[in-house]
Amino acid sequence: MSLPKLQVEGLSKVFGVNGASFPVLEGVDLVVFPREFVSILGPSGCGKSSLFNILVGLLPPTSGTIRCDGTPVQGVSGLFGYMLQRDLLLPWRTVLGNAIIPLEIGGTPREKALAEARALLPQFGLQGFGDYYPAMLSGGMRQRVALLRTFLQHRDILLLDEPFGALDAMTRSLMQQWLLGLWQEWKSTILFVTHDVDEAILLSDRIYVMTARPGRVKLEKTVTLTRPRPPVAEILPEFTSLKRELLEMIQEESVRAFQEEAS
Amino acid sequence: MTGPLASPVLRAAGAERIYPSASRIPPARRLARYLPPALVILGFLILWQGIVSLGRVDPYILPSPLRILKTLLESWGTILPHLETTLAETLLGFGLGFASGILLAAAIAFSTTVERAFYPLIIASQTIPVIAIAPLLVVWFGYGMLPKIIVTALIVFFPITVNAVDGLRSADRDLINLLRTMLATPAQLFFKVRVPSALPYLFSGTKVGITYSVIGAVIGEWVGAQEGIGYLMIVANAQLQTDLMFASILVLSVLGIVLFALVAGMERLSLKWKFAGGL
Repeated sequence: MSLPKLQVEGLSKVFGVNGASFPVLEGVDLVVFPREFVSILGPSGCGKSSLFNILVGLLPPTSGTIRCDGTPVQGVSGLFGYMLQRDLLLPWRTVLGNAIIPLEIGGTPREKALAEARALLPQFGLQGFGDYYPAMLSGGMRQRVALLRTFLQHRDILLLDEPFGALDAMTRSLMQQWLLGLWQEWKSTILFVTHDVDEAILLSDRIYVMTARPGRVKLEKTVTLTRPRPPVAEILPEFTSLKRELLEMIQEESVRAFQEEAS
Repeated sequence: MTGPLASPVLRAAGAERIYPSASRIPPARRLARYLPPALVILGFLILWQGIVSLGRVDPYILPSPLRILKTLLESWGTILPHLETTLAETLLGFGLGFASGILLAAAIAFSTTVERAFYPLIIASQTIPVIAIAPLLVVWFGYGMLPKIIVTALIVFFPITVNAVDGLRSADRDLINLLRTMLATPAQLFFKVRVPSALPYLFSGTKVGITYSVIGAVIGEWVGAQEGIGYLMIVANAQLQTDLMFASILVLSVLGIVLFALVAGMERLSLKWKFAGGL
């Protein structure tokens, strides 16, 4: 394979609270290759969100390095398209107004930005909704607006932090299929955080399983299922055996985290 | 989710249920909303009229509603110039209080040093009764409009400042961070996120402030003035023209309601997204 798009080496993060120190991440190593779909799977509190906040530069790492295309990255680099579970739409802006924010920040003339966003509405299932306010949309539609906004950043690497976590199962399944289509068409590189094993297997080329606090990479798994992967792929033997392995791993970690918290 | 799920890939716009705007209220429901208060007010006025007419209450003790209305219409020529003065004081005082409140709020939101330096002073300023400073202002600035404008501004700036500070601070932390990862500058964050987040708060403060501003102008006039509705009230009171007194109160009350309604209308226009219906 080609050179890594994103390379994280020995990344650690320790939070200091009133003199006591809490390690959140401990020596995390991971790589993402161009156009790859990689998921990070872990129990809650494994530092997945801290990892993303460090990558985008909102949080300084305690130690470790991040490289993009081989170049070290520090602070807010603007190299990543970032999306969270909360859609974080501006309620006073319409669908189009929200979508063009990254272009507006980058200085693209408003008309040009609007034209670009408008042309993408059908592909994001938002045709005819350009002038609607977020409050008038369903949860799934709001997440698609957020994703459209993320795509309009035109970044090579997308960091998606449980983007479908708040959606109902049926909508989530539709959104997963749709995201896969989008990923293939846009040829993006995606790093995806989830605690849903099915979601991780269905979407990813590779999966990193993280340990409970402090977060470390416990296991790396390549998903060998052929693409395209329709929702029914979930009952293939290949799928279920991988799921079993991952679930056991996660279960072990969740129990350990629970016991540590209890003691 | 109740909408029909058309296709596995979400190309079709109708794939999910959406919620159309629900801003239009049917006439029957509108009637049901406004009829009860209208009846209560009407009943109160009839009762008032009845007590005064049947009990032969002297008009200088309590004039009847009809008599107040008659006085208002007959004295309109006298009242109007005073109303103009009070309106000018109200608007200028409100403008001054609003502008200084906004500037102070922006400074406080931007710098914790400014906040530490000024916040105690701002709160302390509200514990001093404005009515106690008003005579001093007359001593300093005379009987003209200036002391009334200052009194009004002093009353108005507090709700504006406090609400604007809260509003500017209400901006979603995650949203600010997200836009920072898009390389937004502090100025972009301020105007694209903080200011719009603050608007609903600011309108709440403005609705309180505009109502207080009428009171401020009248207090200023009571203390010492040569014109204005407050001055008219003092004169009417001294001459036991209780009907003119009530007519003045009615005028002030209507002025306050009109100004409030103007702000509320501006609020509806600027916060369309809030009133656009939805879930």
